[in-house]
Amino acid sequence: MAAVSNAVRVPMGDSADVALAAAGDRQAFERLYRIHANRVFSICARMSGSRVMGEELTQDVFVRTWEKLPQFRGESAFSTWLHRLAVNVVLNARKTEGRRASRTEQSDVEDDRRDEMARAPLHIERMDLQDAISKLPEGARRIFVLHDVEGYKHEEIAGMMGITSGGSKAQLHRARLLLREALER
Amino acid sequence: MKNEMKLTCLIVTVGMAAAPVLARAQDERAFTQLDTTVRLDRGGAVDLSLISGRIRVTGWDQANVKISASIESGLLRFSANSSRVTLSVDDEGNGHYRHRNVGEARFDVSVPRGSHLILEAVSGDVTAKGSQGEIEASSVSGDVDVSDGIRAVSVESVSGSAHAAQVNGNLHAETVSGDLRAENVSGNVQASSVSGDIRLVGIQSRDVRTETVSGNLDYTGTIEPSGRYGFESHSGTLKLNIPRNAGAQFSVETFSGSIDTDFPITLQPGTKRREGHMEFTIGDGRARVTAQTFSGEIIISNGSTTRREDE
Amino acid sequence: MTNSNMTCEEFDAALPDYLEGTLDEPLRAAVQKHLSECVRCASLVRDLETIRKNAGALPDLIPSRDLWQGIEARIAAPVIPLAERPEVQRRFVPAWMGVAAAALIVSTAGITYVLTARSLQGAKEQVATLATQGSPIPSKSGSDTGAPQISTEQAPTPADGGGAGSRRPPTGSRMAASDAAAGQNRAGARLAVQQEQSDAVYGREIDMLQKIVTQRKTQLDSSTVAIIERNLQIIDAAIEQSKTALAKDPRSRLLSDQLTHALDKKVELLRTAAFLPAST
Repeated sequence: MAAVSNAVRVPMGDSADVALAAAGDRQAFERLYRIHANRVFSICARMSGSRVMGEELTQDVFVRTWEKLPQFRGESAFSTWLHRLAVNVVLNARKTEGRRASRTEQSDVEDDRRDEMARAPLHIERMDLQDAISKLPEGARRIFVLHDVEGYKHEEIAGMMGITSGGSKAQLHRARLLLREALER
Repeated sequence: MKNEMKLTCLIVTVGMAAAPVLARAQDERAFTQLDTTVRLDRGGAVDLSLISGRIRVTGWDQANVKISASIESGLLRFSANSSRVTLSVDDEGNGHYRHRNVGEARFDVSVPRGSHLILEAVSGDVTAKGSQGEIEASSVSGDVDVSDGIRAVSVESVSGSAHAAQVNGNLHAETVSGDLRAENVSGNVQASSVSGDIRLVGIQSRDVRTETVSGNLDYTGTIEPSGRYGFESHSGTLKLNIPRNAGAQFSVETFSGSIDTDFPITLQPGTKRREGHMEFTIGDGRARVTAQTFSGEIIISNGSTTRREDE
Repeated sequence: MTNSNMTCEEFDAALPDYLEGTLDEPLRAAVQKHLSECVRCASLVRDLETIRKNAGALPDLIPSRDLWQGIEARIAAPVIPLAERPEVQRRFVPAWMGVAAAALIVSTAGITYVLTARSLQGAKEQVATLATQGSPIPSKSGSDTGAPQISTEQAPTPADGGGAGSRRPPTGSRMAASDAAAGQNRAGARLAVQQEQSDAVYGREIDMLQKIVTQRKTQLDSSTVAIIERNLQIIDAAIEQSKTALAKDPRSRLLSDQLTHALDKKVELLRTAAFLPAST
C-alpha cells in the first residue's frame, strides 16, 4: 500500500523521460511537454489573466525547465517541481520584463476598476468562474489562483511573492469577495 | 541516479534564436552564445575545441557540465549524451561559412571531477584546473596550462608554452619552440621540445625521458630505485638536480660539450672515464640515469630538494 | 460570560480566519452563532466556500495551439543527424593527405622491420636506426623480442564515440626511438651499411612528409609556418653536425644515437606539421 501511494498520479514513463531529457534528449523532453503542457498552461493563463499571455509564458516555462532540468534531483515529484518553476516564471516575468500587460505590481482600487471595466464583456449576464478569475486585479488574481486553484499554502505563497502570510490571506479574501460579486451579476 | 538508460545522441547547432542561417552569414558581427548545463556520468568525456580564443575548464563537485560559451562570429556545435559532451566551432564550410568567418570563441566550462578532458585550440589558450581526470590538451600557437590531472595527461603546443602541474599519473608534454614546464608529477614523464626549454620540478617518477635539440633542460626530481632516466639534447644544456642520497648508475656523455658534476666520483675498476664520457655510480646504483648531448653542457648537481615544489 | 451577539462588521473582520480555520475557539463559536442567525452572512460564507471548492475543481485549460514549436526553436536549432557529420579528422589535412601520411607510417615500419630482422641475424647489437616503433612508455613488451611493433595508433579509440581518436596524429613515433637507442650498437663495418639503409628509410619518410607539409602551408597561419621552418632548420643543423662527426668516427655510439635522435625529431616535427589543425 505505502509503496504505491505517491507514484500513482505520475505517468509511468515520467521519471525515465526526465532522466533522458536532463541529459539532453529533446524527444524525451517533448514527451514531458505533452504530458504537462496543459497543467502548466493553466497555471500561466490563470495567474496572468490572459490566455495569450499564458501561451507565451508556457513556452518560457518549458525553456527554463529544459535549462534547469539537470538540477532536478528527484526530491519531489517532477510535476511538483515543474509547477513551482512555472509559478516562478510567471511571477518573475513581471519583474524582469516590465509591463507586459497594462498593470502594475501593486494594483490599487482605481486600477482594479479601470481594468475590470476595460475587460468586462458587454453582454454576458452570467459569468463563469474562469472568466471571473481572469478579471480579478493582478495581485488578488495570482494569490487566488495559487491558493484556491493550485492549492499552495499561504506560507508558500508569501515566500514566492515576497509578501507576508497575512497579506496573502487578505488578498485571497478580497479575491473571493470580488469573484462573488462578479458571479452574482 | 537514473543513468542506466539508452540515450539518444544528438548534435545541435546553436545559433541566434530564430534567425535563419543565411541571415546570420550576412551579419558578421552577430554573437552566438551557449549557456547550458547537462548531466555527465562520472568519468565521462568533455571534448572542447576551438580555433582562436580561449578554453577554460574548471573541475567542480557537481555531476553536471556547465557551459558558458560564446563566439564572435560563426557557429558553435554542441552535442551531449550521458558519457560525452562535445563543444566545437563549426568550420566545415558549407559554402556560407569558411574559416575566415569564424571569430574568437570563449569557452568557460565546469566539469565533474573525474571527467576526461579533450581540449584543443589552434591559436587559443587552453587552461584546465581541478578536473582530477585524464587530460589531453593541445594548441598550436596558444599556451596550454593544466593542473590536477590523473592517470594520463598530455600537453602539447607548437609555438605556445605547455605547462602541467599536480599530475598524479603519466605526463606526455611536447612543444616545438614553446617552453615546457611541469611540476609535481608522479608517473612516467615524457617531455620533448625542439628549441623550447624544459623545466621539470618535483618529479617523483620511475621513468623519465626528455629530449630537446637546442632547448635547455632543468630537471629536479627524485631517483627511484630501479628507475630509468634518460636526458638528451643536441646543443642545449642539461642540468640535473639529483638528490644527494640517490642510488643510481650514471652514464653521461657529450661530443663537444662539457660535464660538470657535484658528485664525488669514486673510480671503480672498470669505470670508464675519458673525455666527454663519464660513467659512475652513486648510492646503491639501482636506478639508471643517462645524459647525452652533442655540444650541450651537462651539469649534475646534488644540492636539490627532494620535496615536491609548490608553485 | 456569554458573547454578545456578533455584528456583521465583526463577522466580516473574522471571516478570513474563519474560512482558514485559524480562529480561536471562543471567536469561532461566536461566528457560528452569528451564522445561525444572519442570512446575509450565512449566504456570504456559503458563496465563498463554493467559490473555493469550484476553484479547486477547475479543469485544466488547453492552449489554442501547439506550443512545442516555439519551445523547440528556443532550446535547439534543427537536429543534424549523426550520419551526415564527418567526425573524422576535423580541421586537418584533406582525407587523402591523412591517408598518405598514415600509409607512410605503416610502410616505413614494414621496411624497418626487415632492416632489423636482418641486422639481428648474427649480430648481438641492435641498430639504433629504426624509424618507428609502436607506442612509447606504456607498451614495452614488444621491445623485448627485438622486433619493432607497427604503430597501432591508427585504430580509432572505441570509447571516443566516433572519431575523436582518429583526429590525433599517431604518437607512436615520438620518443620511441630512444627505446631502440637504448640497445646500443657496437658493430663495426656493418654500421656503415646499416646507416645507409636507415638513411634511405628516413629519407623516404621525410620527403613524403615534407611534400605534405608544403602543400599544407596555406592552411596554417604564417607565424606557425615560420616557427616550424625555423625549427626544422635547427634540426637540420643538428643532423648535419652529427653526420659530419660520425663520418670521422663511425664507431661512436653517441654520435650514432645523436644522429638517430635528430632524424627522429625531424620526422616527428614534420608529422606534427602535417597533422596540425588548420587555422585559416
